Amino acid sequence: MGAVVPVQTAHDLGRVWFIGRFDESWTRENPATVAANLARHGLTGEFWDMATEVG
Amino acid sequence: MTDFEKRVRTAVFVSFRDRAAAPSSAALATSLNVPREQVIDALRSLASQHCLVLDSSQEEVLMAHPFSAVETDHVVGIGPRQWFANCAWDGLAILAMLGDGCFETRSPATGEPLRFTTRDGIVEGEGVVHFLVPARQFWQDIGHT
Repeated sequence: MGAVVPVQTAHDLGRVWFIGRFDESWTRENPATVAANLARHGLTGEFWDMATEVG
Repeated sequence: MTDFEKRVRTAVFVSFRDRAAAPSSAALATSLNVPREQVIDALRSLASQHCLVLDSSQEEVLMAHPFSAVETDHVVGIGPRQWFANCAWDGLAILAMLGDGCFETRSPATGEPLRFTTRDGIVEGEGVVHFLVPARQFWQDIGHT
């Protein structure tokens, strides 16, 4: 149940997921960009579909 | 997000980065030169926008992902400095954000201590991160996630 991700992938995803958090100009990525970032790390499918929610 | 909320959000993250700790609402009020109540209102708004998580008092920061304001089993070390993460992914993410170091955690299945290090962004150590909650539900119960 859930999804299993190699530690290297989790590390690399963390870099793009949390990018810019120290900057006042930071804004949340739009869902399409998030989906593209996930897909670039091989994270696709229903489990990773964030059509309505971005963390 | 208002301009003031942006300032508060940034101050929280910079505090985690530079001090490895969340700033108190009182400290934020002092540094931003505003009443504490104004800071608390901003923190509550930021929590409602899923930019951070407040503790049970709803007045202080508990999490600003990937950072945790309280001690956890997910510990990141870079040189002599140490941060607490909310989960395994957050621990690895802190290394990705701040630089090479080590990440110590425990297997949720066996309790076995696990240690990973990074060098030039390459993770050394075998392992996987198990995501239990589908991505779109991350914030339905962020403490569980």
